[in-house]
Amino acid sequence: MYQAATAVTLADRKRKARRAALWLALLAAAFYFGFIAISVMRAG
Amino acid sequence: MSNVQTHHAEVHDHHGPEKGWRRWAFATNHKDIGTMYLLFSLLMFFVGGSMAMIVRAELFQPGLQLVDPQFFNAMTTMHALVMIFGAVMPAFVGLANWMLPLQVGAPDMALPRMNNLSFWILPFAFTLLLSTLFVPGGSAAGGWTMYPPLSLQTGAAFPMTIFAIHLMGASSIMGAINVIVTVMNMRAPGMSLLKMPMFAWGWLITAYLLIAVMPVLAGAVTMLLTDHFFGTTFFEAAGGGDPVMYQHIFWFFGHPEVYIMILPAFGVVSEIIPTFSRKPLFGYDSMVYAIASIAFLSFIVWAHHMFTVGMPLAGQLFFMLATMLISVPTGVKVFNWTATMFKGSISFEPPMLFAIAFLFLFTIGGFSGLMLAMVPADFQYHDSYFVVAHFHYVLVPGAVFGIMAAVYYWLPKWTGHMYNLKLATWHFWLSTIFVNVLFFPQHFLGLAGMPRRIPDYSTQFADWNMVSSIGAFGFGLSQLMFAYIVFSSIRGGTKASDKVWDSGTPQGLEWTLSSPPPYHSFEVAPEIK
Repeated sequence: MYQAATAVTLADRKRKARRAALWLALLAAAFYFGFIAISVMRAG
Repeated sequence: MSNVQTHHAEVHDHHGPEKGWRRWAFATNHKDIGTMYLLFSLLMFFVGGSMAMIVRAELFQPGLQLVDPQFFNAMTTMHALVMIFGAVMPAFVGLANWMLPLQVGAPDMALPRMNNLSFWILPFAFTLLLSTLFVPGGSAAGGWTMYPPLSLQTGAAFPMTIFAIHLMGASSIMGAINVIVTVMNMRAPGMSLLKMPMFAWGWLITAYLLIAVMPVLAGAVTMLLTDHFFGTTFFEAAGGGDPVMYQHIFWFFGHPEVYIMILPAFGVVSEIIPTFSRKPLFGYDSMVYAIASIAFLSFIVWAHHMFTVGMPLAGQLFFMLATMLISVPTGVKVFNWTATMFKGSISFEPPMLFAIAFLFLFTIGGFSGLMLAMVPADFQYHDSYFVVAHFHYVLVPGAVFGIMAAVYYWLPKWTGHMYNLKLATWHFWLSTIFVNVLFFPQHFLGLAGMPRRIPDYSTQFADWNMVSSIGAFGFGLSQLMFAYIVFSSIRGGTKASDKVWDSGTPQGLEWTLSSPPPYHSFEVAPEIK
């Protein structure tokens, strides 16, 4: 990691990275379940 | 493009890689993982290429010579799956792994352990997929689109293929998350989004596409699985389902997938042309907006793959016009690449040769795509060899040439050795000649009415099929040169300078590092002015 970065900014960067990854994974899951849900509703 | 004026990007190589197999099995370093992705992709390129050779050998002359029709169909299906998910996509992920941290001034990818997982899923996925060749009934043979009800007739290979696709999808999504998080959080201070290298832009937008559409493919094949094993009837008309709905869902994934395979290549070409034209990229901002526009449009054109299925006139008009609209941002890109070369001091090293060939030949694929976008014409061309010619022009001299251009551009940076330029130039000319001998006659075959996915054909198609097969064998053999050049450069050769292309004007943070770059790069954040 950057030597120039302070401990606070490093922790902040890690937190932001984890949060972004989680949101993106949730978005992917939403597309997966969303399309299946649309198909179920359409079949009904 | 960022005007990269770095203060010293000093590096301190505190420790090197682990020794032996542990370095690769537990790799978290972006360069190691990038290398594994690229080598895996090269292996799959030859596996998928061998399948194409079987297809072209069978089609060398009319009649059934070498393989039975079931195996022929399995080869076309597996060739597509292996080339798309095993060769082209992992190659671009490998390039992203190697280059994105170097280009944005980051010490590594943001999520290195997930990076390791997303790579190591792939060998298992493809072992599973390729092992279906040996199960009763053979591997999936209904085409890579896996349309029901045909695909539901697949034997023991069916669940294995679907599980393999799920694994590939999971790997791609993890790779995409890593790219987005890296680019959005790890850029060097001062590198605003509109100062990023074009390769990083191409990949950032591709990653969003991947996150949006790979789960849709997963959803579609999950529903196929439940239709097959759990009594649901999503796509079965007898149970109130709709087989056409599968096609809509599949192509909602399938069309953006084409751009997933081409947008990173756009980025690569946008890096190479300025370097060897010795001019900055013409219209950087418009290039970024063009990529974003193409990505957006790719979501609203899917049904142009389904004109012959039947849809209301308004639907036909919408999908035809939306598809044609893609030519506007694509035209902007082609214009800007040409304008970059205009009055430039051009030199023709192998990366530039591949980039120029990309420009010409991808445009041919684009034009035939415009022809296919027209509804009345598409009724004539649909499922003919014209379509095969079209998408191979987009994917081989498009995506694959983009990958080769990238490898020839950055290989000396990765290995620290300059490769044999003369041999690489030979590789370029043989590839370019044979790729046209291979695919251009397929336009004629399609226009004359030859359907795709058939192992035998009417004698009227014999001549051009023979020419096409000769082109295929030549193209396939030429790629052995590529493997030789790459491995020779890994093993040794003339020392490459840090800038590598001293004769050109390479721009970007990666050229501020040594060749090869240290195992841990950018431990000190570079400053971008």
